[in-house]
Amino acid sequence: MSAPERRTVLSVRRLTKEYVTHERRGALAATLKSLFVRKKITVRAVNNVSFDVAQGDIVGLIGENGAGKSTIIKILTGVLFPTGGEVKVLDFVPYRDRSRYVAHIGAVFGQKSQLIWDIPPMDAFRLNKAIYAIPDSAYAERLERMTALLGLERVVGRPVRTLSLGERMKCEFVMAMLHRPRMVFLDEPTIGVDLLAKENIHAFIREMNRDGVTFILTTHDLEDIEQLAHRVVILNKGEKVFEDELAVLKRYLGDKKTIRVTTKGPLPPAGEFLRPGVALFESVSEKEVVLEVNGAILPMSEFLARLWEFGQVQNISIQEIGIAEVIKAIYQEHA
Amino acid sequence: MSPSPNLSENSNVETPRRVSAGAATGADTDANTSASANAGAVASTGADTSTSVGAGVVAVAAAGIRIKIRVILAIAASTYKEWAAYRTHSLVSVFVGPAYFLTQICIWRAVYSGTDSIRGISLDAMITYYGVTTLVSYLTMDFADWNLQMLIRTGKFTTFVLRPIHHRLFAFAQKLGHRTLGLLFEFLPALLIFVFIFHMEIAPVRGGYFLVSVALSYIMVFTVNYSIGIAAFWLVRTDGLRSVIKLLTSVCSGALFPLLLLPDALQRILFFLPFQFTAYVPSMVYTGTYRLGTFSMGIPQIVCVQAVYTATALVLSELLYRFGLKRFTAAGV
Amino acid sequence: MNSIRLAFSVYGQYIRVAFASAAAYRLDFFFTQTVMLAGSLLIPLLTVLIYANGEAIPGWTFHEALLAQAVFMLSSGLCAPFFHNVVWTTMERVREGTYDLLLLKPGSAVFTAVAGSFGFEYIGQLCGGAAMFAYAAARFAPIPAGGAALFALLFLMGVLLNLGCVLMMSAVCFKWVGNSRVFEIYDAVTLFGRYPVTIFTGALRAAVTYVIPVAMLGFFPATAILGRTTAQMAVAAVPCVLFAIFGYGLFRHMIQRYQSAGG
Repeated sequence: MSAPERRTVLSVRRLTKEYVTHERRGALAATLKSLFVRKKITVRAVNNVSFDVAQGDIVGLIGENGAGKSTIIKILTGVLFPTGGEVKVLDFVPYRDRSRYVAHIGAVFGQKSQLIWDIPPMDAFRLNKAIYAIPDSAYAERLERMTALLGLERVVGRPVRTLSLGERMKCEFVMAMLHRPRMVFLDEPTIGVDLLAKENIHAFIREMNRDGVTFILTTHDLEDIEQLAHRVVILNKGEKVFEDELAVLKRYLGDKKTIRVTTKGPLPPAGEFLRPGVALFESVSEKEVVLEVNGAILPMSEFLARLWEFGQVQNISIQEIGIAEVIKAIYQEHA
Repeated sequence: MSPSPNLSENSNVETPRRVSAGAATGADTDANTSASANAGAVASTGADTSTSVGAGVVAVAAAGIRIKIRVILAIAASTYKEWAAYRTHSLVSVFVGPAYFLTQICIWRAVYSGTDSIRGISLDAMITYYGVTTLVSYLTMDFADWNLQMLIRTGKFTTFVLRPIHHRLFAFAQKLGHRTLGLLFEFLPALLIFVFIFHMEIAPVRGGYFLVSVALSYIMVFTVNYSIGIAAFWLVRTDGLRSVIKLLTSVCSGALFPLLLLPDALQRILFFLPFQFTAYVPSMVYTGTYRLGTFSMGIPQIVCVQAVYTATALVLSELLYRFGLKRFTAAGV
Repeated sequence: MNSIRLAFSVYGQYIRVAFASAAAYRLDFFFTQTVMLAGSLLIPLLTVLIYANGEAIPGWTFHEALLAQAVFMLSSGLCAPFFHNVVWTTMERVREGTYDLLLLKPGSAVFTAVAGSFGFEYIGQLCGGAAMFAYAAARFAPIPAGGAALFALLFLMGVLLNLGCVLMMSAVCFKWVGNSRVFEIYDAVTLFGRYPVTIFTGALRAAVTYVIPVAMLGFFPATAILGRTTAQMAVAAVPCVLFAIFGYGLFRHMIQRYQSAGG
């Protein structure tokens, strides 16, 4: 997955962003007073965050509401100036070189549509063709490929207001990628989208990624992360608390797995299973139990051998610990 | 969308405006409606529980009215509070009205340099006319039409069908609150400017009748606008219709110029139309004489005519509302 | 050169999109436009009534006064579809927090804001202005080439003033979020440009000539057609250009502030 020779296309160094807001009060006297003296409140939305992204990566930015994800995306897309630190994307400083830089990137915001409500997506695509000066032949070729990949052939000619949310979101992807950006930012790209459309979008992103497009993805949907991300950056209250490969995140709590065991006859008393490295996760019934096995203490092969000795086993399913559990644990460590 | 900024010279009328096709407008107005809607709901729930307290029929009726007034005041107060957040916007009116008045003073001073009277109107009377119409419009304007069509179009109107209070009364209470704010933050500052900077004399010839006429005009503006809003029960978009009526009103009401300047035949027609009661009549009552076309009458008489027209408009509006509501509930919009 | 061609093609696409959006509700669109056209004809109504009642604006024949107003209508009619929506879209985008999307487009943010705000819903006003101008100017045909050139120049100055005002109002919208009444101020100020400036005296006249030269929106270009230009009109051109420059600078500044504050 990670080839060492790939070059860094995005680097964030000690990035900090502070917002200044004013205290507001409702009462008339306070409002009048606030015309003259206003109490300033400084909020640090991003605090000293650094990370790198290599070409061709898909990096997931994870964090709770207010963790600073959107602020970072805004800075990376050149929309917002940082308070401190350095950002370099595709050899540009986004906020300084904005008007040239943004021609090389794409962005999909799940909550902010770039399509035009009363007219078909096709017209909005043509608008982008003019804005990004895409040559006719390249435009036709890319449009055909993307609409085919996303199954949009019969959608792009209908007014946006008549489209389903999933169809609209797919069109947002076409809109964001027609000019063949090398770097694409996705902010909650599958919010509210149904299962099939989501799968389709995931496949599309993977396909574009094979072409060498780098993706930065923020989402609350961990399925997006598990399906797409190679690397993960976790933010908590404006600070980076984790950055590594997805596989490393999965092993973060140790080499733990949950194992669901169903037996033919009644299970022996719990003590029979509970030895160092094995913990009872849930006792479902007298014939079914969920255990958590720590591979670092008790190797999986040894555990399975012992289970086999018991001889009554009807079915076993082994699962990795969900990343939701891992992320929760990481938040708690930094609370 | 309301093309009003270009439609009327008298642009001290506040209009919610749609920015582009598709997107709904004035989010602030939307929010306001729902917030005061809740106030109304709370207030009217209170009404139901205490109605049974009254003993005799008369007592019940009296209690009913008292409660209704309480409901109206509650809605008005909450509307006032919501809009008070936007009172800096009123500063716009305090600038716009006097600017309009100033241009009129300049135009008419120039025109009157060659004559003493135009159609029997002296320069002073002409300037007073513009001052009064501008000030009265601060008191009477509303956008009940925009509000109602928005409620119907977005389906929010459903919540009002379920309430024990007629939506018209609700909307009227909102206007009371909104215009109280207008009185304090638009009318009074503008009045001070008119009196102290433009030296306009505030001396209605028959003050009592003038107040009644303004009150009737207040109700008339509301009733007409509300009825236009009702059209949304039938039409998907009422922008076109609303702009036609706005256009007609601006010409025919006397808000742009005294109707006496129009050709006689037109004046005679306008006498029978309701438009004059929203601007021309109150201003004429202020000056103490009323005439339009060949019709000339005393102040008490024209105020009576105004009252009859206002009552008729209310009845017609109610009929329209009932037809519309039948359509609304039948279609299950 | 290439970038100018690109700018034109982008502008063209934005106009196309604006047309397609407006055409989505055809019936209402035609109806509204017809009303708007009729409404724009209200501007000279007061003048018509004054002259119809046998009176006059001193020093001006009916057709001269009408011409001044027709030029005003043409000027505002032309500026409305091209500029006015900049204010509304800025207001809407700032309030909804979607201004970011505009900044994601390559090129000048001010250009994108203006080009992306073409308003077909003002076409009726433009048609009304054009029709009234054709009617009023025909009275004075043939217009000498020099007069026509001077007219074009002064008219352009009025357009610059208009653009400057619109950009300034849009800039204000970044701060004064959700005030849908900002255009009323504009209307009130330009009201002074609807009539011959000779009706104003003293400081007021100086203000509408040199401070906010709204006289450039109608009266001054009209005098070029009538062959009655004066030197003060050349002076009034200076603040027009300054308005445009200042408006552009302020709007740009507010976009940058938006970028640093984050909305």
